[in-house]
Amino acid sequence: MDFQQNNVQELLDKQLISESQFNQINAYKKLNVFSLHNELLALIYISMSVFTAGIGILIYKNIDTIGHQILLLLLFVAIVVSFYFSYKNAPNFKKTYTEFENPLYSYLILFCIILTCTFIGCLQFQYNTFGNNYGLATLVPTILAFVAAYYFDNKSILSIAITGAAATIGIAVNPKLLLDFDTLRFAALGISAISLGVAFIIWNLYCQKINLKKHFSFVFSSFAVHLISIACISNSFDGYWFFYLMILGGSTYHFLGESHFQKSVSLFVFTIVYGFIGINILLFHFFENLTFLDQFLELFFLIIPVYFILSIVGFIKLLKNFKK
Amino acid sequence: MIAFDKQLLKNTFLVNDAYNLEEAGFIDKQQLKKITTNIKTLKTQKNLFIRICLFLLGAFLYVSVCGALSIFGLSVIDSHWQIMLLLFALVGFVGQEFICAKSINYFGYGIDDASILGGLGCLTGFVSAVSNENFLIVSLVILLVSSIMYLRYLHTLSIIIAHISLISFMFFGVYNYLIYGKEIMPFALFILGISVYFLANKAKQKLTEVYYTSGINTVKIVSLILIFISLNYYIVRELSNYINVTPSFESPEIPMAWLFYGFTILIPAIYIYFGPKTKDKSMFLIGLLCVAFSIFTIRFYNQILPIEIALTLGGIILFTIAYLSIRKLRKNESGITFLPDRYQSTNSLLALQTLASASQFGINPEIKSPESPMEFGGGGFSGGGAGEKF
Repeated sequence: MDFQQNNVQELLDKQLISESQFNQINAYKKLNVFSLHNELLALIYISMSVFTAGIGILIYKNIDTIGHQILLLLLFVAIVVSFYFSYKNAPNFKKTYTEFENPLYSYLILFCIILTCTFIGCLQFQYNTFGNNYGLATLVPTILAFVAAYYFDNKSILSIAITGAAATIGIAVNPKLLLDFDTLRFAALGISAISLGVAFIIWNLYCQKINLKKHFSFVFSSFAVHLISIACISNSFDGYWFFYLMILGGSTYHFLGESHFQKSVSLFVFTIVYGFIGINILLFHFFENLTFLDQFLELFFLIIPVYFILSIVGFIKLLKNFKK
Repeated sequence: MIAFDKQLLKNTFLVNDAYNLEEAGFIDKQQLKKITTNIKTLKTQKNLFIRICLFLLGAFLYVSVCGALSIFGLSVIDSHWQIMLLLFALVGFVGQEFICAKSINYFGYGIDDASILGGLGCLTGFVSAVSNENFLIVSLVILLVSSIMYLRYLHTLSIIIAHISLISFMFFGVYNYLIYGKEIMPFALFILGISVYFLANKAKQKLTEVYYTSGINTVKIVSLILIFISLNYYIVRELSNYINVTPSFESPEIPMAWLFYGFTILIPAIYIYFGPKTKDKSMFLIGLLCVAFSIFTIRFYNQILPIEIALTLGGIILFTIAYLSIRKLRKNESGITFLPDRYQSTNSLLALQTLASASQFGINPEIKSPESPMEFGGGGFSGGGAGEKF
């Protein structure tokens, strides 16, 4: 039984959609589209990452042989060729959203940037091109990536550029780190991670003001919210806990507004989660100092369910507000 | 049997379709708003992020309620701790009944996931403690209870659990009670997968109520995966070594290896061929995943090429296949095509790629000590780390 057909019919019967819309929907249905758009593009992306991984190992294994230089030369040629073709087919630079006519070119420019990173890394390792100025060796690919991201309007390249910017000041912002939440590692980076996050926020606000690639603000905000919040949370058990929790409060406030502005659910949810963790840590510090409460331990266990019910109710209320 | 008001349930799916129509651009926002205000529905959570958050909050609530209860049960907890597990399971089920009561009406909201899964988990612990870890009984009980959970609350995760306990019931039944049980295991599971798949297919054709659709689709997906892994060479060889009386460190060659190798290659090909033919997207996607696992299977036992050559060549071959398919399908207006489906947005793919790029090609801060220069900079090297999954 075709349930979608039934539902559309019912909407028509209730006069919630018009006759012409009904016909359009049916006409599209008759086309019997089985689209492989997303699947094939994902396949292109996977093929590219498999290939670059292979090239990376190939170069690594052939270091100090003649093959290495040939490989580097080939790499350079590949970079130039792929850059030329992407540049030629790119739409003219605009401050608003642009895209390639053929989506394959956005993968080509991403490929080009990844190879450039590999190439510069190799040059520095083998020939010490940038001397002992290691920061420069990460700064150059970072700047290239930022320029490419803004010119070709590519979020994947932008995220690479952001990791590069963080790497330049010594932070590894890899989304994989979120999964194993290595607090000690983040704790040491406290202030620099927070400053980087604040820098992203300021740049974001500036871009929104001058209307420069506004759709990038989600990427910047996501990186910033995780950087600031994780740095604050992992530092909130030592001496300066109050200071860090204050910053967390400020950032939660900012990103709540920002998520409303960007209409981004995931940003909103992450902000709430970090804020909730912050509140709990604050409560923990508060009760930790009240030693006479030890006698009421059983009462405490009875109150906790109520606390969680209240937080669920609060969360749902916040959601309702957000949807408005 | 169903706990919800049937009209509201139907309306929920109706409004869900209206959302899809809006996303596909057939109707505008104003119309959608009119539809959502005019039609009363159950409260569901479409957004996965929020659903996970509510699930976590619900899980905290569940655990804290159980904690509060165990304070009252402190006196019996030493002698009859199994009773407490049964009590916790009941907390989950009673809580679920409360959540979907007429006044609250939560359906697929995240909190219900927490109560049902928590209840089923505690019940598993209780039954296995009482039955001295007789897995046959455990899987039978869980199969029954999770089926009831599905039929009463239409909870899709429950039907996955039901299916898995059916598989484990079959597994332990064949293993313990049949002569040559170990030898015929792959075929027994294969037959189970095939028969459940075709039963579900038949049920789907005869279906008259919209709300069973996702459950049946889920059963089909799990069955397809079962059909593939039951005859996969890697799984069969490692599992037969594992359930052997004296497992060896390196699994020995299995009899009829050619047959299992054949199925390892054949089944993904069948999925990829019949997926588009029967307009079954999930079958096609499972087929693609099976291809990846088949390549892993074959490379695990036969290192034909060194890893870097295999990756580079594999990348080129994959790209060629994808590129040629795009060129071929580009102009198709109907049927199998490269044109985006109006009902499927590309946003999630792009978001996933942005995330994957940052984690895979992201630039790492350089290590200043000259002893470990390979940690340094370039994306390609950190990309090499991604090679681990092959």
